Amino acid sequence: MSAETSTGGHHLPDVDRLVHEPARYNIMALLYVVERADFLFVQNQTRLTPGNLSAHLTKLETAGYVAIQKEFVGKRPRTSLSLTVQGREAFGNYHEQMRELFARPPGNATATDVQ
Amino acid sequence: MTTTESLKELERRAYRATFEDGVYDILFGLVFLILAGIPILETMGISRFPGYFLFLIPILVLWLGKRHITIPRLGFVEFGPKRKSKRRVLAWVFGVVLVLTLPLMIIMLRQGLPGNQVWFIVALFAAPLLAVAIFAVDCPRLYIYAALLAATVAESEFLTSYVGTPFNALISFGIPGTAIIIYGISLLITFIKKYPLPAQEVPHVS
Repeated sequence: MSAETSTGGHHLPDVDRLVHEPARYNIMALLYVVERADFLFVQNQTRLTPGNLSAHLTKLETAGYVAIQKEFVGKRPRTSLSLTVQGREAFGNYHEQMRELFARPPGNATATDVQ
Repeated sequence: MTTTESLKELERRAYRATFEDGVYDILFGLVFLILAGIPILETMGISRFPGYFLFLIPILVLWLGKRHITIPRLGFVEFGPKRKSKRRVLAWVFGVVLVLTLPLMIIMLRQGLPGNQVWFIVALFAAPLLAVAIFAVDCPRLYIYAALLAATVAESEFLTSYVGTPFNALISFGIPGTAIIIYGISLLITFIKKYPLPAQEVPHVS
């Protein structure tokens, strides 16, 4: 990916779109602050519908950001979710990029920032 | 934009969600009620010592409540290393309190010390350890219960000269205990309404 992306005439840092989407950001943020959680806990905390959460998790799993483990606790199946090392790095990088972007004062736009 | 501070807040909110069920409140309420009930055993001519085993009931309520009510509705979560180490401290503290307090009580009772003196010494010994345990649990309203517990021990002693035993304990521990249990049950009802059991099997991803 290129270092910067042109959006609406402004140069923005090339953010990871997979993390940038609000629902996926919420999922990753939650999994970033806990070690692991099951499907139900993530669903309750993010307030997503099961189908929606499932679809987002599939995308995150395909990207290698989330590890999904299916296990049995007694006779009950449990879908355990956690961020992979790659997922943690991606979330950390995204966070850093956003922080830098917002730390830049609005008046400091240069000719290369605005086209 | 989520900052580092709000990530901390997110973690705290997720953690505190596990206390919305009111099970810890019911646990504390039961502890108060048992403390109110033990002197009644003595009044009935029964040694107060077997009454101490009643403290296993709140522990059982906590275990059953978390296993059969909280986790099936809220879901399962494992928090990070900081929380885990705090939980380890909690487990150690409860272990130490249990292992040391029971023999201490047996020795003192066999030496013929009056029941209230035994209780006072045990409370002095166990209180700092329990304070560490409550700190490890990290739920603000439990601090209030702990402070209330300490205050009611003193209040119970104060009331002895006015109303005698077992009414001192019934007033000191029974009233707050009942109030805490009612609050805990109301939290539990709200929790059950907020987090109904999933109607269908949780979908398996991919």
